[in-house]
Amino acid sequence: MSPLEDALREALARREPPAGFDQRLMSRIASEGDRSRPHNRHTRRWALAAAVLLAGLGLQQAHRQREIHRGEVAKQRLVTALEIASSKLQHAQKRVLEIADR
Amino acid sequence: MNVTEESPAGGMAISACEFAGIVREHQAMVFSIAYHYLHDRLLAEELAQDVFLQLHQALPRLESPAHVVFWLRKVASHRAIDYGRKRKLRLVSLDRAPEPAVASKSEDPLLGERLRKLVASLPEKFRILVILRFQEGLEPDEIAGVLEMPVGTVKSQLQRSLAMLREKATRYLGGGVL
Repeated sequence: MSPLEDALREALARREPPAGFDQRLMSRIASEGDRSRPHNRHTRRWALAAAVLLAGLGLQQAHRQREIHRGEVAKQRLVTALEIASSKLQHAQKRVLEIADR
Repeated sequence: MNVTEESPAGGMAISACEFAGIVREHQAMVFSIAYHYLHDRLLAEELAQDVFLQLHQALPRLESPAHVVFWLRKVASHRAIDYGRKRKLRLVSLDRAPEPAVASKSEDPLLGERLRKLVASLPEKFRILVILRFQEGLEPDEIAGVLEMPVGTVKSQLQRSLAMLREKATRYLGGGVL
């Protein structure tokens, strides 16, 4: 081992970091954790809002489908009623013409 | 070190208290690699804190206390090189440094500081080798593992580093100092 190598070993000996290094580090780790938690809360809020919005859209769509179905039923009933009325009118007209011919 | 419990992934699962113990055990090593490389205490502390923050996240992947030491040396060395490249270092101007008043190692309390400045003035690839060799006492094959370099390259660059330091020491510290 040369004198230079000995001197280097001595000069480059490990040294402790400034006092309070470990406390500063641990509080930094804790604050990094705190920063990540609001992020999670934020994400959960967005997920909840999205779920509520999707549920609302689903309900609206179901309501519209029910309305369309109800309209279809009403239309069918009206058509049936008109067909009955028309048939009765034709029948009555036929009877009137028969009486007139006598 | 009380960190032998294993996580489900095969890494080490430890409490905050045990992590604080790891920090206290290795903070001098990490801080010194950074300090001897950057020659700046504030920057060295910042780097060391970043390394331990990264360790906190990486710990579940590390398998043993020896793995932790290897990991810390490796990450601290690579980060020191990155810090040195990214930030404009206040370079030590040896040409303007005053000549040493005393010429004997035992009589010169500033010799250590002057040597550290000489090391800090080495090119980056030589500087980290010298730190790992003389601060950490690593053998060339261990340095090769940390820096992911061929052992032959480590040996030849260490020899060149020592030759440069010897030449600088003769020029700036006087021929009779070392």
